[in-house]
Amino acid sequence: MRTLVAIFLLVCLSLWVPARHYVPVYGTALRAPQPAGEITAPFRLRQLVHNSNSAMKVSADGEACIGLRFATYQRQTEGQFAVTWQQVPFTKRWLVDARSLADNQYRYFCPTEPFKPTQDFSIIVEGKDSAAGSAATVWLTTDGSLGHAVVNGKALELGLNILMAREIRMTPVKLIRVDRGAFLIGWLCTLLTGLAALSWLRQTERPELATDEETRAVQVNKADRTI
Amino acid sequence: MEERMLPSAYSPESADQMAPLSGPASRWRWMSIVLIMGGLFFVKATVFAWMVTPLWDTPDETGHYSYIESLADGHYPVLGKAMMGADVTRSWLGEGAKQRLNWIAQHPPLYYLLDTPVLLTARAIGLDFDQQVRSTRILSALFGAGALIGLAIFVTRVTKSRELGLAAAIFVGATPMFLHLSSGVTHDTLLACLGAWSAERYSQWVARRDAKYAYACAALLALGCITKITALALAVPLMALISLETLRLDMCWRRRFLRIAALGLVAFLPITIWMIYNFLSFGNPLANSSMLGPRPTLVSIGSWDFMSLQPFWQHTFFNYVGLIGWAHDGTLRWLQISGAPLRFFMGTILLTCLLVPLDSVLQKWNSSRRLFFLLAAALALAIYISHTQLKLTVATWTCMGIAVAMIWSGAEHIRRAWRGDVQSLMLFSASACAIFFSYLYFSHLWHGYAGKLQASHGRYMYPVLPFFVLVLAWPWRSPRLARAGLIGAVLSMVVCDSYYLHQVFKFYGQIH
Repeated sequence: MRTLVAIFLLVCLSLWVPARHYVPVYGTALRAPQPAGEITAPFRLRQLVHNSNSAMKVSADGEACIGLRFATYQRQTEGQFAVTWQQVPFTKRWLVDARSLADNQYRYFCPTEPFKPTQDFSIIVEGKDSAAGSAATVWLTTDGSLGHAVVNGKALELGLNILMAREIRMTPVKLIRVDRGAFLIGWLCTLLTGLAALSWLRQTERPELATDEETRAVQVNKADRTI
Repeated sequence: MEERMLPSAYSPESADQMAPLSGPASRWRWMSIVLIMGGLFFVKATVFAWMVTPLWDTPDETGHYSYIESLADGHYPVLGKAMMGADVTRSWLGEGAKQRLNWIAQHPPLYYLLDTPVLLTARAIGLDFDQQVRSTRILSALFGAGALIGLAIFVTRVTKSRELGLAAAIFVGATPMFLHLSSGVTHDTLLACLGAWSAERYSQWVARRDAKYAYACAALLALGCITKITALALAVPLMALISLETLRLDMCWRRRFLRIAALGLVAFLPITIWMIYNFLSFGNPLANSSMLGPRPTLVSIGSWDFMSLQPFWQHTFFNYVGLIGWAHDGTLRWLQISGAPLRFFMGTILLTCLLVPLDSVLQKWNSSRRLFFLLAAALALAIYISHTQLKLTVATWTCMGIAVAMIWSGAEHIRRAWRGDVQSLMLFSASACAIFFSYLYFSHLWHGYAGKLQASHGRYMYPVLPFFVLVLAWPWRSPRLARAGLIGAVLSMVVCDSYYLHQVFKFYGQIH
């Protein structure tokens, strides 16, 4: 029983372990969305992101990240592809495991220190070893406010569905402040409900105490047998 | 009215088959834990209503609140004429926005009548508009807690397992959608509450055959029908079952028919009045908001094609677990549950569906090592399916599992139910009501299909939710399994909190 309570407490406390969150700042709207095509070799998508929006600032509080919305065509995707960020003179490249993608969800790329989010940068998506039929794709939108994409050398009137976000670490102190303590109160309710429920298991673990009448009946029986 | 009247195949011993709450002294301890659980849910939902859920981010909240406002202002909202409140429109769509028709005026008035005094009190003590809306949400939290308490008692009474009753209530309360609805202005939690307590009264009637329980059940169903007309899809089969059983009671035919007529009157008179009002006002007893807009061009499609080409049941399931948000700033904005929390709920429900056909084996092997291996195999299968397959595939398996569980349970218990076994009668009733309700829900949306999947909302199942829960909880009733179920339910609350932390707060823009 104690072990159960300890495990439950640990699981509850795990919610307070600092975790990364991506807070959206601005991006392109997903208007008339179109998939860019399967990201298999030699697929290459390049977009110069015209970034004059000053809403995104790098601060001590959070790092600027670029979110791209991928799709899996509702099937299990396989293989790898590459995403490259360029902002003269810096370049950073990530290899993405297609199996780890969720359908229609953003995947964030954080270039860290050299990134100046208020200036233009380029994003390149290249196919590597995903096979046709099991490759992922990336969503394009008619919202060209952050530039237009060039896919396999062909300029399109569509741009990537980009979401610029701040990456923040949710520390316990920040968590307590979420919605003026609402998360904390909700968490306490969970904790107390769980402990109350587990206390019932403890009760049923032990045999129930006999009432006075039952005890007397047992004594009478014993007396009968003695006689 | 109070005499015990037994059907011919009904033995006096069977009356005690479902009476665990009248057991030893520990019942008060159990009851206090259930009340604590309900109380803490109420606190959590109220806090979320005031501090988390943004205004107008639960389904149709603008309409529900405008209905209450109309009543508080002394006007009865008439469908087609009633408008959204001016302050609601301003808050929802911005300054200068045009008021829209209030389509929620299609609903019967019970919930809104109950919430009107709350709004009047909020106004009387000088709360501002935002606080007035949030005050009226408290009633949803209260009904949510009431539903969970009713569900715990109902499941305990039928399964004779207090752990299982508690587990069922905690698991339902941990569903993100249930918490979300309990923190908004909506009649859905009242419907869930009335559904749970009518099921509980029905179980009492089945066990004791005391007419007062049948009348209480009929009255609660009547209240459900004048909360939302979908409750009729529960009231009809449940009253039919009560009538059939009444025909088998050991009393003269005249009294049997009089009893059935009286019960029918209690259950259906209020909704009949409402339907007559609709007929006289709109020429249609089932008038609804669809008459406000242009009639859509219906698409002719076979029922099987509709189910297989459109992820109808799958989305109903996803939306039952979690469909957060609505139209905070005038445009629809939803966050459908996904990722690990969805897979947890799907995996758990899939596991319990796997156990339904294995019930007799599970009960026989209660204390043997074979039970452990069987459970481990079922658990491994559920985890494998729910974590390796695409979510739509898992949802397909889960929905099929639920359907098989309902049909299996109904078929398994029908014979013993006919012979007068009270638990079997409860299980059969639960399956029959769940299947009947689901068919009507499906049929309604299928016949109204206009080329686009719409209104596949799991919350529509709330009236009949206790019956789904009973059938799925039934295999867990042996002491060991019930304890395991309770531990799983307790963990599901942490999953719900995690979902709010990692997805919902971010969706609301509340993490900075």
